Amino acid sequence: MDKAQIHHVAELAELSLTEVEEQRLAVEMSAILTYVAELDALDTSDVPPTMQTIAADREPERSWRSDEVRPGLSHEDALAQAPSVEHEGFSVPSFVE
Amino acid sequence: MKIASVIELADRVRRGEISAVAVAEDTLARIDRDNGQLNAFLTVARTELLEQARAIDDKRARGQALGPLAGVPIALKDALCTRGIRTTCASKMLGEYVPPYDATVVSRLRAADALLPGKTNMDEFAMGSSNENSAFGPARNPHDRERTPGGSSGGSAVAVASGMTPASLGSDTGGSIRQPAAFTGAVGVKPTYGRVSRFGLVAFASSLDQIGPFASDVRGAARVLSVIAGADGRDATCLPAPCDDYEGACGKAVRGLRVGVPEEYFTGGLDPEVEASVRAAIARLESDGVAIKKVHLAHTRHAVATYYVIATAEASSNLARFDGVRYGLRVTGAEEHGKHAQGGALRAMYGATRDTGFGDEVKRRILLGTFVLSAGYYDAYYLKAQKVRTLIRRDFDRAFGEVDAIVCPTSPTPAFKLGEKTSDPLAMYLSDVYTLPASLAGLPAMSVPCAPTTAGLPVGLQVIAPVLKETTMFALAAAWEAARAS
Repeated sequence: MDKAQIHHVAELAELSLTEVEEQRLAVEMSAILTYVAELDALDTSDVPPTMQTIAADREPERSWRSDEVRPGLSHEDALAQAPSVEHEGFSVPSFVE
Repeated sequence: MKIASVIELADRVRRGEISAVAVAEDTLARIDRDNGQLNAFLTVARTELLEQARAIDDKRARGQALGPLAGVPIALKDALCTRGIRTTCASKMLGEYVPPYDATVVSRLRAADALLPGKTNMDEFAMGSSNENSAFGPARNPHDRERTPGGSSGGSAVAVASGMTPASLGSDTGGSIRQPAAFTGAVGVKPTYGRVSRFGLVAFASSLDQIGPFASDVRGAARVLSVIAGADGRDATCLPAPCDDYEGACGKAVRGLRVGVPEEYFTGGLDPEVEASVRAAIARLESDGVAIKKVHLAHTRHAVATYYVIATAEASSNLARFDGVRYGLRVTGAEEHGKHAQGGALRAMYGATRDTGFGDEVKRRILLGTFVLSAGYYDAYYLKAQKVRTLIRRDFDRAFGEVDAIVCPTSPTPAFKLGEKTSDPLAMYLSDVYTLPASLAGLPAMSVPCAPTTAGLPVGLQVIAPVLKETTMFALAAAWEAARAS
């Protein structure tokens, strides 16, 4: 992976990395991806993926909960940790010019 | 003074031989004495602890029955939400975060009359194997303070191993309970995936994360698991199957049990002293009537690559929530507004918040995870890893056709030195090779101490059982613990 690729992936992940970080991560990520490439040696053409281990096996045991209205977080609790609150809502910097 | 076990302490508090307040005060004294050196606790909840203790003593004075963990201090990994008590995940991102609710496991401990002295150190967002990725500095191994206690649940392991608390809770995604248990000489249990509710656990990799106990002995871990396990309407992945009698399983005869020893766990990279200790434990079990049998888990060596694709992919998605909007850190990033064509100030805030709030390892994993899920790479990396995961599961399915449980080392080495692997992320990942396969297959697994090395460093014997067969796992671990003590 080169610096340009790291920059692209960092944009997808909403991370503003510094030049120094991009340089270092390009080296580290390349080493990790080279290691991960050992999986290519395995023939998995007839193997289904495992997205879930246990829960999927036991689907029939699971059931829907009843559709009842129950108390959730209060408005006050939900906003208590917000870095910025305006008009009883989360406030963010402007994003439309 | 050695700390009493979970069972002994609960019995004595229930009988009124010792008050919960006395236990709480003793716990605070132990933390005050040792935490400065060991850095196991990030937050000590003194006022709350003493309030809980008084409430338990009042309850007893009124003649009400006390719960199964009456007056037992249980430390909580700082990834578990606690109402009104700071929960940091050892990250700058959540440095001042105070959750408005309790995790289900925390509610269940409270209902069982446990004491909750505080929140323990960990690798940031549970990403790491040495506790060195904590934004608050590493916890230290009580057997040698220049060594890591393991990770990510390092602080919870240290709290138990140093006798600050008889039990604690951790979370295990790829070995984060078992490996620190092995490194510190504690008992550490990762239950079957879905056995314990994860409501209120800060998510890392959702197809792998599971909460479990550390304790000073096997029976104590079994009691704590029996309190926290079982269905929860707030976690759809939590299994509805009824829980077995874990504590009753400790002490059950193991004669005739068929136990597999996987050859692939005894190959290159395994420390000779760890091998000797684990083989001695296996020989002792055999002489006590356990039928030992060789088994093959052929895809073991692919577990590290498989895990680091799947876990990082899931983490990149889970950690998208930390964006400076609803809770946690916000950095405006004003100097970077011009960098984004669209949504300038907002995207600059996201980027600066995440760059400032996350540490190096977390950024590395978010990037790797974002990459393996990105257009053009999904099939080659993510889907491929999910297919190899199937091969790893099938290895276990085949093995459990022949044996009731599997025993092997928990970690290839004893605790390594602080700083030894921090410059090489891949070397750090490879230290998890023996704990990752059971995680990928969703199986219950635990670490129980066996004979230490000549330098006095603890070694862990790992016991792996089939899905929801925690009772077999506990019976075997307890049998070894009793044999070792005799």
